Amino acid sequence: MATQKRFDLNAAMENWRQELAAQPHLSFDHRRELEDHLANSMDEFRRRGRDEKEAFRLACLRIGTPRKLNREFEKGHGFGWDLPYAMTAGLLLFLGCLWVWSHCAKHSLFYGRPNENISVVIDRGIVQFQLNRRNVEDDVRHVNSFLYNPRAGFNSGFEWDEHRRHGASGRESLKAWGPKTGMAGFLAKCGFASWSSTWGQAFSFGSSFRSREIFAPFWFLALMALLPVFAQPIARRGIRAIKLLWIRWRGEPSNRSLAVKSALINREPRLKNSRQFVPFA
Amino acid sequence: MLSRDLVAASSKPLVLSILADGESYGYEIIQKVRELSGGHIEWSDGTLYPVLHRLERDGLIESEWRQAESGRDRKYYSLSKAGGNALKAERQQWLTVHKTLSKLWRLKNVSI
Repeated sequence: MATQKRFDLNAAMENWRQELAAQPHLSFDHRRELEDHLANSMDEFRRRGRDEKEAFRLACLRIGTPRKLNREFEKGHGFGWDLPYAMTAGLLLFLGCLWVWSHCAKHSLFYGRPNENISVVIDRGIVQFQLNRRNVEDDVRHVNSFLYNPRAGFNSGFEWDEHRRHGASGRESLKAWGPKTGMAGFLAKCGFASWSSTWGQAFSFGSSFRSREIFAPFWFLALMALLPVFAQPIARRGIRAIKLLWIRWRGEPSNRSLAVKSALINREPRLKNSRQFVPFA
Repeated sequence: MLSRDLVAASSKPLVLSILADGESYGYEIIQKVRELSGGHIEWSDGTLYPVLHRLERDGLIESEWRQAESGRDRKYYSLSKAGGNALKAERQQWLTVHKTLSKLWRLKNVSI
């Protein structure tokens, strides 16, 4: 005769709890709330005449699988402050990468014809649009270099002739112009542009020592903005893993610790200026 | 059965309206909606809680853990002052939609 295994509600509940605890977006409070919901649902099915096993199964079906619940909670918590924050952080990250990359290597994005070409050069923090006109016979290259300056348009830049005659390589007849205030000034302060347009520094095209000093707090702020975006999910998963290990090792928190936590959550707000408050003295 | 978008859009005024009658908890809110709509508005149980948490985060509702009659810990939700104001605004908007549609469809009584 086949023997049917008896349904153990406690074991089934424990399994369900464990599955729930393994989901990264369900906090301890969420799980408590869902457990109460499951219990209410089971009570209803029992009242309708279902046995314990059937009531548990139907209640689980109604509330959804732990994975589905996790997805719902993830959706609910994903677009509160995370999206604009992540977008800002993404932009800052992009600028940071650009800055680091442009300090490491000089790279031209595209070149046109040999005699005349437009090149986009990212050099040590500055995005330069260069118009090159090369006189092959004289081996002179006339360069108009424009700094990318969204506010002032392309009126900030440098112009020079590059001579390679007789094997020499030098740059002459430099003219530099452009505002040092406004957006260009801001870019300079952030380390994206040279600090001034004098001859020597114009060719450094990068952050001078002074501008590096100034942009440091800017990048510190950017890093601070980035940290929670990337650190938060990692930290949340880490905490969840530790909690899961703790639950496996010591079991679910006792009723007493639940009561303490509940009392902490629902504690009375402290009165301001409580020293001055004299009740019916 | 209502479309998914409409169910999602109506969740906020429904929750706020239920809580305007007094504090309640997740399971009771779902049951009330099911009962009042005659089963036409069917929320899956897991989807309500993220809505409640969002409303709480926005300061429209408040929550408190208490022990229920059954002895279990239960999270009760209640309407905050800001939630009352939000409900007034929501009510106004939904009534406007209702009136407009009623006129368009030339209906005197709209029932589910």
